[in-house]
Amino acid sequence: MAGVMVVEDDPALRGMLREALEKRKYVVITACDGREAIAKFRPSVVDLVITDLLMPEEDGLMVIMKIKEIKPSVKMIAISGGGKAGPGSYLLMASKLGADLVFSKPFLPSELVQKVKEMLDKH
Amino acid sequence: MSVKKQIREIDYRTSEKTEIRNCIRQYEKLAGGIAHDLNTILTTIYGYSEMALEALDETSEAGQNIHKILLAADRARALSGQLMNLSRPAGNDKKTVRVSDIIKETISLIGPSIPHRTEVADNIASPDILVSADPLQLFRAFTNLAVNALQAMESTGGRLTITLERVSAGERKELSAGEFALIRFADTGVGMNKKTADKMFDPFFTTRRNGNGTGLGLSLVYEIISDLEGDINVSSGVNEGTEIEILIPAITGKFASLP
Repeated sequence: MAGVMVVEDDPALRGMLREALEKRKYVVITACDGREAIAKFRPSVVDLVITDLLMPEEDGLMVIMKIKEIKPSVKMIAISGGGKAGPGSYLLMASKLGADLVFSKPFLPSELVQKVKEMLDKH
Repeated sequence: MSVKKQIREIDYRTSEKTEIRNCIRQYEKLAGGIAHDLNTILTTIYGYSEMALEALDETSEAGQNIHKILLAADRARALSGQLMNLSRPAGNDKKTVRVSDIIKETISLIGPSIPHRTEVADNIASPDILVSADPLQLFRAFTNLAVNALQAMESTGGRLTITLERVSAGERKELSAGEFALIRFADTGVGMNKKTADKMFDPFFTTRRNGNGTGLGLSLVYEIISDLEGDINVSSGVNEGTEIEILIPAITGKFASLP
């Protein structure tokens, strides 16, 4: 089964996304920030990364760049709740750095999981 | 007693303006932070609600209750959107703007919310006057002022007149040089006493009860106009309406044309 990495600093959201993806039988690896994500990333296991953008330590933009460097074929979904300037600007940056899809929080997790399925089915 | 006698004029000293602007910037930052955290929490609420619905009969009592949770989450999402709007910095996309266009758009937007027995009219003496501003921010400022005026006439009805004219330094004692767009929002509503008028641009100051006002609308107007190097004057008296004048430097000479 395909592997998905969830990088999110909010433990409740991270746990919920893990449950939602595991229900669809994906192998899920989680990380609480960018640094942990880089350390835990396994190219042979992870086919798609869902990453928050505003996080302590290494942020999501760094995650996108570094993981794309390690495995250029990995699919990348950026999620953000925005900061002072709203989610738009961070998501735009993520898109420019190589995210395949961006989701502005709050979103319906069922829609995210559906997109994960579509992206991995094409993979 | 004459109307003139009860009219109060509020002058803000430069130090007070700077203090208010710094305060607003802090609140904008805070609003953005709260919206960010709220959006994250809401995504979790949506996710677990969806998962619960998958495991339940949607028509059961528990299923119906989850739908109510989702409706409440939708309301919180709308609130978060408002907070995010408050957190956006002002004046980042300045361009040449025809002020009369923004006034017309404002009147068009508030049209559906004009209360019973209330009229809104414009009086545009200088339709071609141009200023350098972010049109969205200027629209936000005008809309806030217009909505405030409508709220002041909610119980009594009345008339809001938005006027636009060009004034030059020689015509106004407080202006030292140049030409300005003078936009006046004059309503015949309940007006304000001096205590209220003195605080009306303070962040979080509101006379609306039951959480119907954030108290940030007029403080944002203040910041937007200050960012344009403009000025605001307020005249009001209890039961005698309110007149808010906005002065924004006009574009003159060879630059006075739309791109």
